[in-house]
Amino acid sequence: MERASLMAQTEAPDEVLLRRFGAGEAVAARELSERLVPRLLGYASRLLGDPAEAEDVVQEAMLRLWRIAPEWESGRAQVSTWVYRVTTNLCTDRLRRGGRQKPTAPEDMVGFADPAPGAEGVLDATEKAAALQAALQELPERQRQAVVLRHIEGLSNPEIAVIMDTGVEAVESLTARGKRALTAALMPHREEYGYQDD
Amino acid sequence: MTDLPENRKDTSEEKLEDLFAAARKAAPQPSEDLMARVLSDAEAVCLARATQTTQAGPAARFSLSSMLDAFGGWAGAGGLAAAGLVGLWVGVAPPETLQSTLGLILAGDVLSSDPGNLWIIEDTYLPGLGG
Repeated sequence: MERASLMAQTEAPDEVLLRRFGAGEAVAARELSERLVPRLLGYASRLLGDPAEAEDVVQEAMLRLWRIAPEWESGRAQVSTWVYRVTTNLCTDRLRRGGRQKPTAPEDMVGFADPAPGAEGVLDATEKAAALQAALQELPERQRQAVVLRHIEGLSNPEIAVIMDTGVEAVESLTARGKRALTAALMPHREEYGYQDD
Repeated sequence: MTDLPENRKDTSEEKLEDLFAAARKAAPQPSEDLMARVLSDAEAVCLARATQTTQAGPAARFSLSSMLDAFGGWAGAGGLAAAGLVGLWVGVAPPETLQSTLGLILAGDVLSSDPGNLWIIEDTYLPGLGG
């Protein structure tokens, strides 16, 4: 906790790094990339179901960030929110261009573990993550975006509203419906995840 | 969509949260190749911008600032523009006195070797100068 607060005090905000990059300080790009790329990759992977395709999306989103850096207006948006929004739109474009509304099927996924239970019949953490991914891909696109941003990426509802270009109430509704659908999809397998009926 | 009884909602929320936590831990990490591609793009954008600045920047400064300097700054350029407008006005609709003077000059009445004739012009046609 102390370390986290110390880092928060010493780390330059994303916007400062972006401004430094826009002013020609190329080295600022490394620090900004180390912060944003892992988050964007996790998000895009969950939307697309294919980490390799997600990498291309993240590279494109970051390229757009580099290009807009000199014109970045202070207070216009959070850098992370802006680039999440670009990533969301790029993922949507890819899914629609490929004629699909859902991510890659679980059996074709690369980078996500096979959700089949282990020897003891109980899923470990990696297998749980894969099972969740399989359930996420069954959600409608907007519900999937809202649930991933809220519960895996840990963003606030107002931030998600900006990213998804909608209102906070709509985000709350999408998240609630998405979670209900996930519960319905996962509950029949709860014993495999190591949960007993209460 | 399945609605759960109230007494099972809390536990199902907890179980779902456990799965979300597992997903957060299992998030894919960027490969070295991806980071290299992203940073390479950043470097290329930075380089392209620097190149544009060195190529377009001096030319833009020359066209704007050096031209103004040549005319003595904005005030000089304004004076030049005013003089141009006056010249245009004189050419299009010359004052009657100027036409008369020009006629005398062209007729050779004024251009004599006697410098005293210049005073005739001044007294006759330029009364504002104390004539």
